Amino acid sequence: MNGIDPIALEVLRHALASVAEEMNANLVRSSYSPNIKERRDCSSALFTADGELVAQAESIPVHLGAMPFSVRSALGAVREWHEGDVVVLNDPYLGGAHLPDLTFVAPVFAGAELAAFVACRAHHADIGGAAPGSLSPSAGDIYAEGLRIPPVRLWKRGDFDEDLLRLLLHNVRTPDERWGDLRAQHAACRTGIARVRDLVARYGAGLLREGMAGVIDYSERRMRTEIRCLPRGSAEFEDALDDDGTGSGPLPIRARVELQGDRVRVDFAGTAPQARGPINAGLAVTTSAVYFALRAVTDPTIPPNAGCYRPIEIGIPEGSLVNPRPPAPVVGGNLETSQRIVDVVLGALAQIVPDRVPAASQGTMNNVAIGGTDPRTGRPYAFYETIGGGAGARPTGDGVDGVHTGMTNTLNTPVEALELAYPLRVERYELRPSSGGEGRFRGGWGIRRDLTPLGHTAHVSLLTDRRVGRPYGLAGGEPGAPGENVLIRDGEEIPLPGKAEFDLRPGEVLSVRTPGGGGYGPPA
Amino acid sequence: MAIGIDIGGTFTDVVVLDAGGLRLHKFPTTPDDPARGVLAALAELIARGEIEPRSVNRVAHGSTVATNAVLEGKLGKTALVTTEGFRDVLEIGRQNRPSLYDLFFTRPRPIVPRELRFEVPERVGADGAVVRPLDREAVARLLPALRANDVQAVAVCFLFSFLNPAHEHEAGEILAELGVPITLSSDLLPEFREYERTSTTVINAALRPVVGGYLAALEGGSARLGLPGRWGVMASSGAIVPATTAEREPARILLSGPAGGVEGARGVGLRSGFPDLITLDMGGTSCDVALVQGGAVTRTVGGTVGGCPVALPMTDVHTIGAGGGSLARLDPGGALRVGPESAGADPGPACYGRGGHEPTVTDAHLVLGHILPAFPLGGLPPLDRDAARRAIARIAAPLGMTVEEAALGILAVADAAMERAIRVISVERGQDPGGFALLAFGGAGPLHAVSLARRLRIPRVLIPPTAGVLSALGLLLAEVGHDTSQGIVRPLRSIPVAELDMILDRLRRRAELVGQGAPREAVRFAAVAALRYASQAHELDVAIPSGDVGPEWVAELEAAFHEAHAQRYGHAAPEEEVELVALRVRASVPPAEADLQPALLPASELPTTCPAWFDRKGPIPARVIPRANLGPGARIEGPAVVVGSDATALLPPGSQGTVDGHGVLVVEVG
Repeated sequence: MNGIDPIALEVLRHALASVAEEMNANLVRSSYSPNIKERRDCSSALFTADGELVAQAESIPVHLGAMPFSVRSALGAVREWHEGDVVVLNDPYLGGAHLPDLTFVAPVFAGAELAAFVACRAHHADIGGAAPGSLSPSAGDIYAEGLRIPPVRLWKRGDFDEDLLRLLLHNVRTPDERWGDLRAQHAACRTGIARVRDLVARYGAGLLREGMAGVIDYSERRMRTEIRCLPRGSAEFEDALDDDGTGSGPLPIRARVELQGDRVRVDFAGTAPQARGPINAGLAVTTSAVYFALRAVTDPTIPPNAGCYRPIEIGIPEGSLVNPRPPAPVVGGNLETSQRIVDVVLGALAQIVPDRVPAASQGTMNNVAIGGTDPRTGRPYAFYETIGGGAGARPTGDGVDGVHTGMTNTLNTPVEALELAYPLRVERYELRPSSGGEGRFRGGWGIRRDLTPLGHTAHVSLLTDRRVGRPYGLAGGEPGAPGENVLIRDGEEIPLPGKAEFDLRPGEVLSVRTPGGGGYGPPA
Repeated sequence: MAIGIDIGGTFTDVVVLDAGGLRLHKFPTTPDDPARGVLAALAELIARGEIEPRSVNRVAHGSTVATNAVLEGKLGKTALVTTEGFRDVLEIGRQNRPSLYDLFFTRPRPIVPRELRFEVPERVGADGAVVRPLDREAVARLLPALRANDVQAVAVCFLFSFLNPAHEHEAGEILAELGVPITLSSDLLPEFREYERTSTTVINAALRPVVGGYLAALEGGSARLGLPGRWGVMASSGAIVPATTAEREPARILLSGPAGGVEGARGVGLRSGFPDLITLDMGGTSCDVALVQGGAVTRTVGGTVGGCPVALPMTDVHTIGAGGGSLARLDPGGALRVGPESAGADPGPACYGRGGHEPTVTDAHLVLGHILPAFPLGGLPPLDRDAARRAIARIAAPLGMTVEEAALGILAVADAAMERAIRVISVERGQDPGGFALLAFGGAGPLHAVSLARRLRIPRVLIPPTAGVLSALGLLLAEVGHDTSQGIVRPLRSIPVAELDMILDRLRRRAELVGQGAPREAVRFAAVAALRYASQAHELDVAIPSGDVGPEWVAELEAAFHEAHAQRYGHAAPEEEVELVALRVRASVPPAEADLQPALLPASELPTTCPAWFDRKGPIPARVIPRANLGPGARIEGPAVVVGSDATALLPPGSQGTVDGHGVLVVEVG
């Protein structure tokens, strides 16, 4: 233990955690677009002057532990930091997740001394590229997915770079909204900077530095203690994505997990090579998914920071589905592949710590995007949602029905809100009884959601998985039912593929039926 | 004479107000049958001559009976009747899970299980027009199944019933044949978002059999004692509603207790000239914080109880697990944690001598000399300082510290957790705590208030003379009122002004209290519009302009929304379309002005000073001042311990208190 006592440690832990929380609250509060304000697809974090993560606030797990890559890449790109500088970046090959996620990194000076860095990330509703929303299911490379931003200073010594900003806004579909959200991210950074300076004034730069190091060491101690309590051993597990949307599949993902005393190693050797379709998961996404799985089998109350991750080593083959080389497209890696990575890491852990791991959950986010022209107003509209499904059964009970699992946890759009805002009607919204895998404990049920366009033809994009493969059961439990995408026309049910783009005419119904969770234990 | 009765977990507080002033009484709560304890307390006060039954004109009650029924699942057996294709809305909720990283997460079991959720063919569209008429026979066919299941209550919630309630009314008439209470969502909460509306409706239906019987027992018993047979009940919104409303709409009283405390704080603050308050209610197990701005309590319609949404107006209270009984422990990573685990009332802190061995916040205060062992709260036996020392020694030894150093550490950690809670309701909502006064109450609030205020740069702390019974006092200070609302969800400018006027008029008529004893001229109306930009999913409440509804009125309302948006979120978009989500009207009658200075019993045999620790340098002599001796104008310099029968206040060195004309101790934290 270093110089800081257990009381100062706990007092500073509260203070440092609230820096990240206040940044994130300010980001949510001051953002323009519903994706940040309502779905909370954003996160904020505090780093040491050396770029080590001290504290983080996030609302959905896909942001977990993914920003250190961005900070490292910003530190590599900027040699001399000045007060008021803010670096922006989004390139998944230079520390980003996928292009719509813009990350800000800013230094905090206390006097002349660099005291810390603050960073925040937000999912922007559009960053250019082939498809509105920059979520093209058919992008062939990253250039089609939108504007790539390497780490560059958008603010220099407190002033924004007008030329750079014009270039950026010139390449996106909704520049006013983007500028609003960029300012919200800037405001979040300023909140973080002011709070850190407050803490320097209250505790002194020296004690604060010790406190940051102390909080990181604290998480490391707790994480190592947790891992030590798990049995030593290693196990492998393989599962697959159905396809990449361009006709290739299934695409296996393989993980080997080794518990080595107070350390864990996770290796993805044997995973499929990178795909042609946009379902490659960049390094930051794969790392978050591994962190999620390990956090979930240890004590999830350990403050998430660099210390938490020190005992975790990850081996990821280059050029694979979970660590592609540029210019492979990556936008769906966050959404679908991240879920399967969680499934395989947990599947391997289940063999070592069976009492801590449930059967597989639905393993997809069921991304549904519908667009068209609203016949009531003559204006274009775009609706996007993800749909929950069955959670895996646990060693102690049934899986939860109709819920978001794994790397996401966004709120759904209420039926009444959806129908008031869009020319669509929800015909049915219910659980899928018996879709959970049988077992001593059954898997959670999936959801059925039926939608029809009113008075116009709508364009639909589906990015879904587990339509062929099924969420696995454990300890003799049956797998959950796969999801189904169905077009209902004149009472006839026409099956649709997991990844598809098509027109939906008035009178036709799109019925998305999400997977059930796997069962646990042999059925009676 | 007016009586306020607040039932808490340990104590039932009774405050009696008449021309002679305010008197405070504490009785033990009888958890198995709270009504019995209340009636026994009233009988005793009558016998002692504290209450003259014939002169009592008002009884107001704050109760946790509804909350406990939901949290403990002791509810009436309830069925739900809903639109075909949507019976699982109640179970799916918003699809999110309560904790991100817990693979063993659970969601609250739906109050109505799937086999008691019935679908009937019917559908209303987003424009309020009938898409599919109600199949009345399908409703009638449910009757045998509902009877066979012995349901005690029925909830009816159809899609878009807030725009067109006809189908719910028709179904309600058919279901009335069952002879059990029926709750229609369009009566209770005619607003959009089907999950929140269904959840609220179902909770209301399931509470009716429970709350109805409880209130009937109280009112019957009250009448037999010669007291008023009709009571008022504190609603979650901070208004007193007639017991008849609470019986019909018990979902409105779920946050009765905390709402009473915040209303009491608001009333005390306003009288003393502090309209902007952060309220801190710290009791044995938890700490509630809330915000009062411009004399108005911050409310929300986004509250939950036991994980289930209740979308009726509620006092916006943020709760954390930090109280006098919070346990201090060294965790496996080597940090000192305080709470959320609590020693509760039983065994209680180690110093209670009831078998508690682990150190608590109260034990820390005792060993530091902040509490006098001979003068515990609420008539407890004297506290055992040695037991407190032994408990704290259990963590002091591994820390390599003295007992006093460890005790100071426990308080520093508890303060850090509470500071974070206050930052959540202030800083995270765009408010600087420095612009507020901190009003502390509850048994432990006044012990922490000054040190917390210093951490948050709050210049002033208010400690009311009734700090330990403020929730009960709030019952007498709150206005009698009723809230109504109407969901609309259309662009503001697309709604004809005549229609807006009509809706407001209808809401006022629904809300008005005439017929419940309020004279027409005394009733005040306050209305807010819930507005948002068309692309957003969250709305802001904006007070509607005065004057007649017309184009200017609409423009004024719009401007007020842009301003509120800029204030809360830092920006506004005057070029964007503004949508009117709902109109909400409250009718209220203010309480009569009264002298709120309590008659405090003088304490005897207090020492004049006691040694107290405020930092690691060692104990210093602190003045010991009986609360009862503090009249208006009295001044106190820290260090001082102010001892009352219901709470002890701590003034560290450097702070300075003055008692104002209302008996409130106003502390400049220094």
